[in-house]
This record gives sequence, structure tokens and C-alpha cells, in this order.
Amino acid sequence: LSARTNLKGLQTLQSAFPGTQFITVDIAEITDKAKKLAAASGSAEAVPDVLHLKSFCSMCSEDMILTGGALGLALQNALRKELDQPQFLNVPDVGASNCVYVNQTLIRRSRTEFPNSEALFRERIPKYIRHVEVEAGELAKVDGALTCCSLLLR
Amino acid sequence: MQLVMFRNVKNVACHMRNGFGTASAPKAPTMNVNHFQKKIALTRDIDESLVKAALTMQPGSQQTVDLELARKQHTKLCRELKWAGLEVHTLPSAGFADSVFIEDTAVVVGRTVVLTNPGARSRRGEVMGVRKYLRDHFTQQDLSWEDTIDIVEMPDNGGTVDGGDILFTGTAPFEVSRSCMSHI
Repeated sequence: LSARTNLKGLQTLQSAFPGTQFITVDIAEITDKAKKLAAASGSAEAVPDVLHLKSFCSMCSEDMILTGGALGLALQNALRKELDQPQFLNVPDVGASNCVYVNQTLIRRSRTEFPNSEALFRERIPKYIRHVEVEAGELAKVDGALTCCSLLLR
Repeated sequence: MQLVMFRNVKNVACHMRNGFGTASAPKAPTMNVNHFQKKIALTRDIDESLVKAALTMQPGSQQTVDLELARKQHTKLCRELKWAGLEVHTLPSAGFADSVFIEDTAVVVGRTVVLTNPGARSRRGEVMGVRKYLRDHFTQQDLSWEDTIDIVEMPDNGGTVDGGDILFTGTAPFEVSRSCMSHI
């Protein structure tokens, strides 16, 4: 199974939001670059094949993009060229990089699931944000992350 | 740009009227509209067939899912959304193995909800239940303009989008992933 969004779909989507800037990244390309990055840094990190863009990124405050692992670093490199003064936070665990940020609450995977990302969350997320930890290991087995489980409206 | 600006201005008006803006948040950055301030979360139950038929990157891994534990974890997530001040509405899973991942069926920006054409054929029917729910609850004549949404349908032209591929960064930039895709 490969990912699910094609160019035609994106063109349609763009036409629904005229005037909104779209930045398009190719997940296959990002994955390749992430593998090179991981190899170059001599890390033992295995770069997973991911389903969706938000398998390795999400918003973690009003203006900070959270990314995960070598995939996250590769994504940051791609976005730096496109965005004006982006703020990023990269956590070591890909699985910890998908959080729900809403109403000044950051719902994220628990420290028992991803202990290596915990310190960065505590240090780098703005202090006014309330942290909530949940476990989601079961749906993660079928590539489910936290944002996948809801649509936020109004 | 004009259209988006217009929408934002309307949204600000709505926030102020409801006393729902960023004023109560002393340190939060103020923007013309806060896309991370929401009132409603739409979720979906986990279907029993998930353990047999959910799509996955690693074939077979769906069978290792502990359904009961998955539901417990999911319920906790919904409870936390409630604690975060959201009204949580849960739709039935309608027999779709992947329908718990409701994010993929729509892209929401402000008042506009684009119903997607999910990339996996087996998931396309999931959109029906979401469409019906949104129509029934957010498009009635007696609602004020701010409480309604605009539902946009994707034409059936071979284009596919999964909501999980769209990251809305809140301000102007809107980021999208494309995959080197297979099935159309």
C-alpha cells in the first residue's frame, strides 16, 4: 500500500481554498532523503515507511510544526525553502510527532510509549499549553495516529 | 487572498460575539483568527472488522490489534477532547474497517469543509456518514451564519485526497503531501 493523495486531488482541494498557499511535498522523496540523512549521521534509526504526511508531523502550538525522526528533519529541510521563518520542533520518535493541538491543549502520546521525546516536549512547547498524555498503541498498529481520530469543527 | 481574508474577518466577528476569542489566554499569540480554538470534535466508533480488514502498511498487523484495548484507548482520547472544551459527537462506524480514522474523510479550514475522495477504494463509503451528519447538523436554515458550514464536494475526476495528508498550519501556509501514487 502506498499513500493516498494524488496531484489531481490536491488541485481540486486548492480550488476550494483560493488564495491559500499550498506547499506540496512528496512523501516518497522525503522518505528517501530521510534515509540518506539517517545513514549520513551514522544513526541506527530505521526510517519507517509512512502512510500519511501527518504520520510524521502535526501542529504543536499556534505556530510551531512538530516533526519526528529523520523523516521530520527531511520534512523541515523541504519546508524551510518554502516557509517564512518557520518554527519547528523535531522529536526523536516518529510516533510521538502526531499530536492534537486544540484549545491550548496538546494531546500527545504518553511518555511511557515514547520516553525519548518527553524532555523536548517539556522544554520546547510554550508554557501556556496544557499537556495531556494518552496511549494509542493499538490503533498505531494499523497506522492510526491521534489526529486521525477526529475532525475538529467551528 | 481576498477570499481567505474575508473569511477570517467574519470568523473574528464570530469569536468576539461569542466571547470565545484569545482574550482569555494571556500568553497565547494573538492572530486575526485562531484556527486552533474549536468547539466540536467529530469522532467515530471503532468497527469490529478493524482487526480483520483495516488497511495497513505492514500486512497482517491488523490482526495483532487488541480490539478491547483499542476501544479503551480511543474512549480516553475522546474524553480528553471533551476536557479540552470540545463537544464530542461520535458517529457509528457503519461497518467500515477504517472509519475510526475520520480525519481522512474531510479537510476543514474555518467554515469550509471539503469532503474528500479517499485514496483507498474500500474507504470511499466512509464519507457518506460524515456528509449526512454535517448536513443534518450544520446546514439548517435556522442556524446563524457563524454556526453553519459550507460543504464542498470533490468532483469524481480521479483526484484523491486523504485528510491525513493535509496539515493546516493555521496562518496562510497550508501544506500538503503528495505521494507517488498508485491507484486512481
